[in-house]
Amino acid sequence: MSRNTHLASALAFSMALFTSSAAAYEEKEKEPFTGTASAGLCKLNISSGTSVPDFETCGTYNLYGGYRFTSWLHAEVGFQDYSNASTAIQKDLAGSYETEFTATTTFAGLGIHFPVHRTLIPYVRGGVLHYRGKLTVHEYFDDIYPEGSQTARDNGTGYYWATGLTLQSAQELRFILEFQQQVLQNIFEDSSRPLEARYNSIMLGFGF
Amino acid sequence: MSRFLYCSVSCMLLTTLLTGCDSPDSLYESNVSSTGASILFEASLPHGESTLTVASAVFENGQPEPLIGGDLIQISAESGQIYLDNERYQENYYAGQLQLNNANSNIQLEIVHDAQGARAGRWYPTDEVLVDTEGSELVGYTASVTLPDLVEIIAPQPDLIYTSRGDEFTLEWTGSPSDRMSLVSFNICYSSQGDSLGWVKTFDIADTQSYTVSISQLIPDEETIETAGNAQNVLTGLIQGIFEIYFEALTFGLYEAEDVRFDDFNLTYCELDIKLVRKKDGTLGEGVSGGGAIGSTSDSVSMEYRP
Repeated sequence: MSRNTHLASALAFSMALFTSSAAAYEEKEKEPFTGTASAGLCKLNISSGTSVPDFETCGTYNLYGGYRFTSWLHAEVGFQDYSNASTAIQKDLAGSYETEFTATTTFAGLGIHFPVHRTLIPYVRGGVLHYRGKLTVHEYFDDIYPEGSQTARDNGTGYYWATGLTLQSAQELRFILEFQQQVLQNIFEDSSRPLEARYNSIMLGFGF
Repeated sequence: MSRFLYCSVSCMLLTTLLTGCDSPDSLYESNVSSTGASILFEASLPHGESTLTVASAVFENGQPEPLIGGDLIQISAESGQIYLDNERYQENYYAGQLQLNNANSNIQLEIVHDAQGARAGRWYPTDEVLVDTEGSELVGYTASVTLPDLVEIIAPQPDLIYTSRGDEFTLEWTGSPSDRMSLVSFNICYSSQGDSLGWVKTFDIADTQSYTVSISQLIPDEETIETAGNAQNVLTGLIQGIFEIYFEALTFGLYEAEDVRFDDFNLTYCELDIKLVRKKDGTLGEGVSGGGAIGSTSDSVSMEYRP
């Protein structure tokens, strides 16, 4: 066969594969409701208008449900929890101190899926969130005064976005690998030093 | 001297001071009372500058007393106020700089309790989360100084080179005498092998507008140089020039720098930075048992020794 014939055959085969993949995807997407659970590692970055120390890696998990408007457009609402992220001990004129920050968020948004392959489906999702954040400070005074802790809480809003891959299994189960960012804005907005917290997370999960 | 050189000197100073010195006792032997609170306080204005350098150390019952939990050393002058910092130092030593509009201004030290101020550099809102402590018994103690007449060195000219330890030069300066005058010499010598050796020498002289110094007084031809020092000169040396370094060395509790060894040191040349410090005694506030308060003005001249 000529070179052109080979090329035409390959192209036809690819088209047939894509068409059948898309058809299979459509077939599996008939159920309009979805559910997803995932867990992973998070890295917290806080900006406050001054130098902020690094936080140790934290853990996170989320649960969210979705509704499929079409094969590629989904709506979602969910919940995410972050474990304590703490800093190393710092020292200044008042003594030594370490800080911890933790948060939970509820979120709602849209997801767009790209059915370019039968089993491996990239997606992006994003939306708005409401957070409940908790800041704890432990202070130490070189044994001159007793050490102590104080906690403050705040609620507010923010946004999130994520991008990932869905691996569609034959048993209606989906497995996901995702990079996600949630931004908690205007924490302690009325204080002397408002904060913005940014969680970057790598998530592994499954859904139906 | 450049900051780079100061940093180089710091390493040597620390090395020098760390050898053969293991007791900080001599630092505290004079002025500092064995009972009650003692405050060492010095504020100094170099010639031609408007930034006042301030240093202080606090003792309780003769022992170093770090301020903690929100206690701070507040320095006030006509031009404003600052809190002294000890971020780069240890223990009970604090320092800072204050812009001074009027050299005749009264400079006041007060130990205050300001929980927010002591945490001002923290990244989180301390008005939301704060573990406060009550102020210590030191809160309320004060000291104050005024500056003596400005000192200006008019001779010798800067950057002269001397070639013999027997060479002499006459320092001449202006201004009305005050309570005391100190000569502080920061010396750094280099060898043909590229090594360097530095030290600080401090001694009191009469404020007679003229003083003759021989190079051998500053760089003796001996294997060991004895550097002079006493508690009163601690802060003087500190705030004259190598502020960070000197204080850093001191706060390791190693002020009594006895030995600068020239063993196996093939001296090529030395840089000398000589400062005259005119001192005026200030007053310690009610309840302060010991220490001292000094306002000072200074000027410096640099020279080289190339044998």
